[in-house]
Amino acid sequence: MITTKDIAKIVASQHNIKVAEAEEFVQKLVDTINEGLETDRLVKIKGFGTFKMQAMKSRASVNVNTGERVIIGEHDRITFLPDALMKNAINKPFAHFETVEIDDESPLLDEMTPVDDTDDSQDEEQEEILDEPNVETKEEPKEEPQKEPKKEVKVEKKVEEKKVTSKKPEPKKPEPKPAEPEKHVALSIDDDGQESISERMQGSSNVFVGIAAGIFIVIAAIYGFSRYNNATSTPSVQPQTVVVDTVSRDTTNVDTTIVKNDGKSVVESDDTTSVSNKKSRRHGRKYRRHRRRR
Amino acid sequence: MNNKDLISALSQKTGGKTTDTQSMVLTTVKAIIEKMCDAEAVNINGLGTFDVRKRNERIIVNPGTGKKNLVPPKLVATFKPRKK
Repeated sequence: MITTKDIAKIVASQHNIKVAEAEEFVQKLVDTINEGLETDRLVKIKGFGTFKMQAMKSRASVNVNTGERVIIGEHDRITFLPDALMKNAINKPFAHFETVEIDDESPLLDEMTPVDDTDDSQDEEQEEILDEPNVETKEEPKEEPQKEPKKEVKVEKKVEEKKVTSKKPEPKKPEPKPAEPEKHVALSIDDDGQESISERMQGSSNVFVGIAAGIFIVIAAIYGFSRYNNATSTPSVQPQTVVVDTVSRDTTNVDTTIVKNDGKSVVESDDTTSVSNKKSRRHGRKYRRHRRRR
Repeated sequence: MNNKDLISALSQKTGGKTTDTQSMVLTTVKAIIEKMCDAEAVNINGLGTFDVRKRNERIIVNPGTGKKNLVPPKLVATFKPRKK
């Protein structure tokens, strides 16, 4: 805290007078200010600001310690309004800032802070939603429905196969021109071309792809059954092999994920997937609990 | 009371020239402001304390247009009068 003495010292050093004299001067200045406030209720000092005597009306208040009601009587208060010069001098460190207009779309600091909570809740919801469809597909039908809907699916696949075979010769020509104006056509052709190449390359790994494709068909069949709900039993062991090739084109991406889950055999594949699913669900629950504790 | 009135009254008290008192008042005022710029509170005996406070940045909404404005932080001089 700087006192009158320190100010007096500075004044004395600049005006070549004694510190005591400067102190006396500052004290007289203060006295004149007070006198001016009492007579005119307003004192202006150039480069500093204005002192004002403001009348305060009586108001009701409460004693904080005792809780009693107290009336604060009329009194005068000295207020100070700094001059523009003084304001600028004191605000120099922040002078380069200016008020900026904000768009409604731009993220504000207030909205940024609670991101953690919302993210967690969203994640939990997503996990729950993801879990549910797996439960339906795996646990509901299993024995009866597997056979019936397969036929329908296979018919569809065969039709697709024909389409694909008919398309096969086409893609080799347009491949060298990848940047064509019609993006959809180019994309579909590229896909077919890549798949045909991958077929040739795979060869030995076709078996695994077939397994994966079979599983995919089973899942699709169960899903289809849940929709149609028609219970009719028809034996179907033969067509699996036929389907395998056709589906491989559709599920090149899905292959890798499913193969990891079950590399044992075709027959057990259903059980293994269900087990793995249960495990994942348990894991999800644990994970959620862990998160909630946090 | 003007700046002029103040200086004339002060020079009568000290018995010096008005120009001298004028310059001396200016130096005292400058000294106070300088000290305040160093973020220090200045206590003037018999008058009160001058202090520097930081005002945080804030968002204001123009009620007419509904546009939002970010007001930057600033340093403000405050005065607390002495107790009578």
